[in-house]
This record gives sequence, structure tokens and C-alpha cells, in this order.
Amino acid sequence: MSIVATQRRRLGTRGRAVEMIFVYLVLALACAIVLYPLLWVIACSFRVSSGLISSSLIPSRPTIANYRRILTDPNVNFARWFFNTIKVSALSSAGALAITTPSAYAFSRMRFAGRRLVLISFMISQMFPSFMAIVALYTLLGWIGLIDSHLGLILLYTGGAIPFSIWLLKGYFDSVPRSMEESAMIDGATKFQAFTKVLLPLARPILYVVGLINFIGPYAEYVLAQSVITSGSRWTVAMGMRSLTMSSQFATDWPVFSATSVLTAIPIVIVFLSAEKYIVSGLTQGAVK
Amino acid sequence: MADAGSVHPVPVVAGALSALLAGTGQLYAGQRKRGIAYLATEAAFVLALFTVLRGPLRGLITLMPTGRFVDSRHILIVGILAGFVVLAYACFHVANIADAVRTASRVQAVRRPGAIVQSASTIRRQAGVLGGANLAPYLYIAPSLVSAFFIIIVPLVFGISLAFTNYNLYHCPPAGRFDWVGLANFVKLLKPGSTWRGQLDMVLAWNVTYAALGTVLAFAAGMGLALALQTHGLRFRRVFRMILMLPWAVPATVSIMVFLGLFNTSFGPINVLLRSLGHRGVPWFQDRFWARTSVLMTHVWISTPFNMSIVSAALQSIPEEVYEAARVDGASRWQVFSKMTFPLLMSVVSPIALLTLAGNFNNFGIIYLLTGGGPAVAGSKGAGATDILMTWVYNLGFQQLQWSTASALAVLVFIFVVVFSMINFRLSGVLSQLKQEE
Repeated sequence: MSIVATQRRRLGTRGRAVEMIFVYLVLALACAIVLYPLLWVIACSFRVSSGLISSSLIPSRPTIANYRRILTDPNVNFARWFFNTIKVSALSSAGALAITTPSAYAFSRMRFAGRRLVLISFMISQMFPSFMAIVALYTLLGWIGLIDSHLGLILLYTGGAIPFSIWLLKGYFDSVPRSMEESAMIDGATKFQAFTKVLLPLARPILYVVGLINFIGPYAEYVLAQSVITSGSRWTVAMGMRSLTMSSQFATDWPVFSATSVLTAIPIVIVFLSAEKYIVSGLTQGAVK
Repeated sequence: MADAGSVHPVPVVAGALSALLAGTGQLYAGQRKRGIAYLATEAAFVLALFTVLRGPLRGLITLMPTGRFVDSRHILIVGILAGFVVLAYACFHVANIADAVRTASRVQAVRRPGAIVQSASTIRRQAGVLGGANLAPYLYIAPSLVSAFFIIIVPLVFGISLAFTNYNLYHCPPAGRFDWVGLANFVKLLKPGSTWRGQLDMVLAWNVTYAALGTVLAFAAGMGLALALQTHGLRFRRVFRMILMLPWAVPATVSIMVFLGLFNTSFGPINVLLRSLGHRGVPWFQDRFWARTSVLMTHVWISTPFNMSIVSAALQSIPEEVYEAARVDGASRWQVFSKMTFPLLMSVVSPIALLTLAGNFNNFGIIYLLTGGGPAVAGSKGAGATDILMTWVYNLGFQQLQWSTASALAVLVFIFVVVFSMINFRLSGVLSQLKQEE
């Protein structure tokens, strides 16, 4: 082995060590930036409400008073908000899934007049600022008596989820080979049976993804919720939290707000991280092919 | 033979007949049942046009209160629904013309001397219900179509219509009523030198800056972290990745409100820390520059994990041999990155990057919840220093009840985003892929 080659290799290992240190530093810094706000708010949630908030991550006199308060104080009715939120999100997600799965099947497996027009219209409708629809939606909901009702809000979330869900489901169905459905149909299955008994079990991952995305979306949505819901007893978590940040007692109430943030975020973080692989691949499949 | 029509029907004549009156072309070609069905549908529609649809359509044109509807918004919505019925009928009529031409040419073909004799029922069967269309796909998509029609399409058309009215504080139903004003709102917004135009330019400039900077910064951060996570021999990769994904996992509304506290000028830890270092603190939400900075910082914090995932997925799609080939050729690591990895990466992720850019253009949540568009700008008619078009539109509508101006602005935003996205789709080939599928 020549001296030059050995030298180059030695330089290489030293360069590599420097590079590794640099990579660890970058990752550590990024993790610190990500974690600080989260740990800070968790720390705040165990702090005494006094208006004096420290930036340290360890509360001097930890207390669970804030959690006790948001679960018992009728003015900060977190349990109620949380129940409302789960109800609205779960039903919206189930509704969207039930409506869009058969449609996505038709768009993926059948060819018919108007197919391209509808798919493109769905895509274009997503680019429209959703705000534009609010006046009309409010008027329409008022007509059928669904203002200030969870059903009205669920209808809006379900409807709004349609275009995106169809595109996501169709993309996945397209990637499932048709041969299995075809052989089922040769064995006498109807087209509908081929869809429910053959394709749907194969497409289970994307069904979870679409269900989860349509659950997470409404879970912390604020703008539509506040334009439909008025009564405090029907508030969702996002509306309740917003009312705390708008309060004149913002600084004093910060620990209480922090406690609601923590309780609101934990279920979604757990769900998201446990299904991360599926959600990320579901959302990026169209992008990276 | 049961068919009484012309023995050798000419397709063009059949088409012309059906264009004048639906079904007559089919009758002329000898398809009696089909012709009568089309004719009856047309009769029913014309009847509806002069009875049920008449009031709503007139309402759509005049927006004047009628017997049943007084509120301008109700008149407009009912009018739009009636308009859709007319549109649907127009489609039916066109289909009827095409069907007449098709039927006539089929009949002509089988009756040509020497052609195999076919019964009328065979011709009918070949033509099928509604000109050979299969109804099954429409049953599958009906629930989505109906819901999307009422929850997305009608409200959007209504929203667009408002841009051509004078719906504002002084013409506000149910007490007042609004009217069509043509392009007045657009003229007001776009006329050079006007106050509105000044505001629009200011907001648009920041909006473009925000979308571009936000996208580029979050993408750069995401790419850097994705590359760092890809490093060979990295330990705790899964732990790092899980922590870095957290901003995506936490609901954005929650994160934004937490940042509201983080940046708070009196108790926020950033300023507390700065003060303990002897600095007098940063006026995060009071100063134009710092408010914009806080918005961008929050944006990058929230959006980086998404970009990181995209880049990670794209990096995995680049085959290992590419790197090895470059290494064998003696390329330095920087050369490998700048000449190979980065271009390959961009070719894969640029469609989604452009799509996020379009999305960030309307990224409402962060600015609405964090700064509310503020701080106020001296001499402005409501638009604040961090207002992007959408938050400005929202305030114009919900706070100042300037619904018509707000809607006109939203239409401008829509045109901008659609044009941008269409170019993007064309470049990325989504539309041609759809065409190929058929």
C-alpha cells in the first residue's frame, strides 16, 4: 500500500470524526430548539398561578393544582371541551371515510364521463380560500337550524375533507394491483364484493391514515369551530384554549392554559408518533414516487 | 318493423333536430321510446323553468326580494341552486344531441344495403341506457358529489358572487339588502394610487415574502436535518428523529398558542432571558420587523418536520450506486452533494415544494392566532404589518363586515394560487397522468 493512500485514509478518518461531531452538534441544537417550548409549557403547567413566569424548565414548587382546576372549575370546563372535541373529530372522520372510500374506488377502478372533470374540480376547490365559503355555510346551516350544533360542525368538517381524502385514497388504490380483484370476479364475486372483500382489506393502511388525518384535522381546528359554535357548553378544546389566551388574565392564567395545552396535545402526539410511519408515507406518497 | 322514422337517417339532421327539441332526432332515427323519454324530460324542464325555477332565477338576476325570500343571502343561494339546475340541464341537452347523432349513425349503418339485418332491440341494446353510460360509478361517487356540492361548491360560488355585490356594513342582511355592482370592488382594489391599492400592495409584498421565506427556510432546515439523520454510523437515530418530528405531532393550534406565551413581551421566557442578560427585551408583537420575525420563526418550527420527512423519503429513493460511482471517481463530499444529491433531490421534491409554497401563501393559522395581523400600521385602513391577504380578508369580513371587498380579494388570491398551481401541475405531470389513465 502506498504512503499516499494511507495518508489519505488517515486524513479521511480524522475528517470523518470532525464531521460526526458537527452532525451531532446540529442534531442536538435542533432537538433543543424543538424541545424547549414543549418542556417549558409542561413545566409551566405544574407551576403556581402567580403571574410571574420563569423561563426555567424546573418549577420551584411543583403543583398539580392547575390540572385539578381545569378538570373541576366550571369556568374552565376542559373535560366538557375535550369530550366535545373527541365527539366532533371522531364522527367527522368516520363520516368522511364512509363517504369517500367508495368514491375513491370508482375513481381508481372505473372510467366514466366526467371523471377527470370531478377530480380536477376537487383539486381546484382545495385552492380556494376556505374562508370564502363561511358566509354561505353559515347561512345554509342557519336555514336547516344547525347553527351552534355539533352536527353542523361535523357536516362542515366531513364535507371539507372529501377532496383531499379522495385523492389520497385513489392514489393508494391505484398502487394496488387489480389482478386480485379480477380473479375474485372470475370466481363469481360482484364488483362491489371485489371492492369490499378484496381491495379494502389490502388498503387497510391508507384507511387508517385517512381516518387519522381527518381526526387530527378537526381536533384542534379553530376558525370554522368559532364561526359555527357559540354556546360555551359546546366549545371544542381549541375554542376553550383561545378564550384563555384572549383573557385579560393571560399572564396569571398561563399555567392553567399550559395544563390544557398539555392535555390537548398528549393524545394526538401519542397517536401521531405511533402511526407516524403510515401517516408520513400516506402524505408523501404522491410527492415522492 | 315497429320503427316509423326515416329509413336512412342522416346523423347531422338527427343532431340538429335534437338540438332544437330534445328527443326529436331520436324519433327521426326511428328510436321511439328513447325519443319520447328525451322529449318528456325536456318538457318537464321547460315546465319547471316557468314555474319552480322562475322565481329563483329572477332573484339571481335582480336580487330583489320575492314573496318567499326576503334576505338577499337566501335569494342568492336559491338562485345559485336554480342556476345549477339549468347548468345540469344544459349538459343533459348536449348529451341528447350527441346521442341523436350516435343513434342515427348506428341505424344508418345497419340499414345500409348488404348490412346484417339487426332488430330495433339490438340497436337499442347497443346504445344502452343514456347513450351507453354505465350508472354504477355514479352511484359510488354520489355521496361525495352531493356532500361536496352543498358544502364546497355552492358556498364557493356564493363566495365568488359576493365579490360582485355591495354586501357591506350598510347593505347587510337581514336588515338591509345587497345588490349586484359588477366589477366595482375589483376596480376599487386595483385602481392605481387608491388607498385600497396601497394596502393591497403592502399586504401582497409581505405575503409573497412570507410564503417564499417560510417555504425556503423550512425546506432548508428540513433538508439539513434529513441529511444529518442519514449520516452513516449515526447513533440514537430513532431518538433524534422522534424528537424532531414532535412539532408535526403537536396540533398546530396548540403550538401557536404556546409560542404566543413564549414570545410574550412581559412574561415570555425569551424576553425574560434577554433581560437577565442585560438586554431590554425584544418587542415581539409591537414592532413590524420583530412581529414578522416571530411569525417566520413559528412557521419554521412547525413546518420543518414535514419537509424533513419529504426529503428523507426522497433521499431513500436515490440509489446507493449513484453515490458509490461518484466516490470511485474521486468526488469530494461537497461535490457529491452539490452535483448529485441536491439536483436529484430537487427533481423529486420540487412539485411538493411548490405545492407547499402555494399552501403557505394562504397559511392563515399562524398569523391569525399569533399576531392577528398586527401591529397596526400608521395610516392603514385595517391591514397590519404581518397581515397576509387571507388574514386581511378575514378581518375585513368578520370585523368590518366588508364582505364584498373581502370576497373580491379572496377571488384575486384564488386566481393567483390556481394559476401558480396549474403551472406546477403541468410541470409535474399530474394532469397528463390523469389523461393517460383513461
